[in-house]
Amino acid sequence: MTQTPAQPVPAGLFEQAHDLDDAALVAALGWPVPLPCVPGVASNLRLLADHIAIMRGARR
Amino acid sequence: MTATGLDALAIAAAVRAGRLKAVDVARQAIGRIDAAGDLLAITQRLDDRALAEARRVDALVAQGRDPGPLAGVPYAVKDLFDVAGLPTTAGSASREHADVAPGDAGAIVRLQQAGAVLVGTCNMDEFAYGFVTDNARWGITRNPHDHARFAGGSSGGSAAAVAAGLVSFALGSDTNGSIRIPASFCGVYGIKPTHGSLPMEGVYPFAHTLDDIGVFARSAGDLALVDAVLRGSSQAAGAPHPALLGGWFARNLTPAMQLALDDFSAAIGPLPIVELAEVERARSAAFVITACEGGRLHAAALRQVAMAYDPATRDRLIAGGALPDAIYAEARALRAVFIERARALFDRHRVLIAPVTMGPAPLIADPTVLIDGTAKPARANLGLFTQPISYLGVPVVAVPLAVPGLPLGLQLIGAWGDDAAVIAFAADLERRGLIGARLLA
Repeated sequence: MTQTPAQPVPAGLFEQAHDLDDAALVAALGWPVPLPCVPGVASNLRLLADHIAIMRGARR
Repeated sequence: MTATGLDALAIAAAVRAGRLKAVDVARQAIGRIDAAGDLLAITQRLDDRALAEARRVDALVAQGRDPGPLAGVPYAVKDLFDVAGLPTTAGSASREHADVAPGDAGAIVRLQQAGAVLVGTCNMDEFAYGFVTDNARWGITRNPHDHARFAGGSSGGSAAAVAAGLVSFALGSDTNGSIRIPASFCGVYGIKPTHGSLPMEGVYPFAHTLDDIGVFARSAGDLALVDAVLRGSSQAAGAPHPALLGGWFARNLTPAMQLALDDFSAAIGPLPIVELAEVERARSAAFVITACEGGRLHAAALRQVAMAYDPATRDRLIAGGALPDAIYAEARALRAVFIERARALFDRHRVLIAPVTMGPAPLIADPTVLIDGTAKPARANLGLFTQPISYLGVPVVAVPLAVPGLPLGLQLIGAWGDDAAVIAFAADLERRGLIGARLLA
């Protein structure tokens, strides 16, 4: 079973990563991520979003 | 005569002089691997190959020919180096049935030409994406000094093999700290050289703009010798003019690391404390670049066989593969700014000193580190002090502090191309008794 996305990765996905639930966030990737991976992938997308913000000058 | 307890320099000298047979040295290494119990440093034994290589060395000695500066010295390599006749798994079950490597990696070729004897391959985090060496296929490499703790990663098997005395030296790879962190946790020396300065042919990549191979060794002298063989030349070293990195590198230290750093600073004499600007941004940019390059490398395979990947690696790679070009470009662009600021520091100080990690190896039962008072996963966060240095691409030697208790390490960081200066500084600190490997045999 997979979490099948309906659309390609939208611009600004990482900026919205903390506003979407796991399923919506992973669905936005644009490819069928296996369901067992969804929580882990979502968590890592949010972690990357945090690092992108720090890279851009936000303080931890 | 036994080779156990000797460093590479001493073994090679004894083999070249005919006082030791390379075959006996290889058999002793094989025996130590047999007796290593649940350490799980070595994943694939190469006994037949090792004995054949050793016999060739002994034959050269018998003919009065020079077998090379590493004659008969047993070593092992991280599971991502091509070894002729084996699939290069990079620690992944997903590659166990990959085509076998047609030849050895470039680094192994150079070591073989120098007379070294390859005895096995070493455990690692899958695809080098982690700092703990917790591998879904092989298991967890234990810290030789406390089996309840991690050896560090991703080259943890290589570090543990040297610290436990199974081999005289080992090869690993370091993208964000994967040599320096396990070297520090296991109490041995490890080097990430100037980016791109050692042969990468036949090495399974992770994040190509940050990846380097390097050496784990039991002494600064061994480190210099093996590094020179890999490099194909020796370099001249000058005065270090060291300084201690403060700011980012002085935060989040455990009491044990703080005490060790204070004692080191007191013993070496007054050191200027300097700051590297924009470290936190640099660390995050390195994190983003790694995720993006690693994710893109595996994107096609993940769409086919995601469930064959280690779960801890798979989810990180899938997320990284989603990073768009524009964010990757941002992360790359920041590098030039960071390098310019670091260059100003290296104009005044040839070696910068910083801790490798915040403290000693975490417990396997509690795989976390404290960052700003919050427990974070060790697998992704042990590189707090190593990732920004990787981003610079400069040479770094991780050296084991001469402290009681669990091993702790320092980074000796040089300017681009100045690898010899940091190795020479490590040798000087070793002579003064401020650093020294912690070895079981």
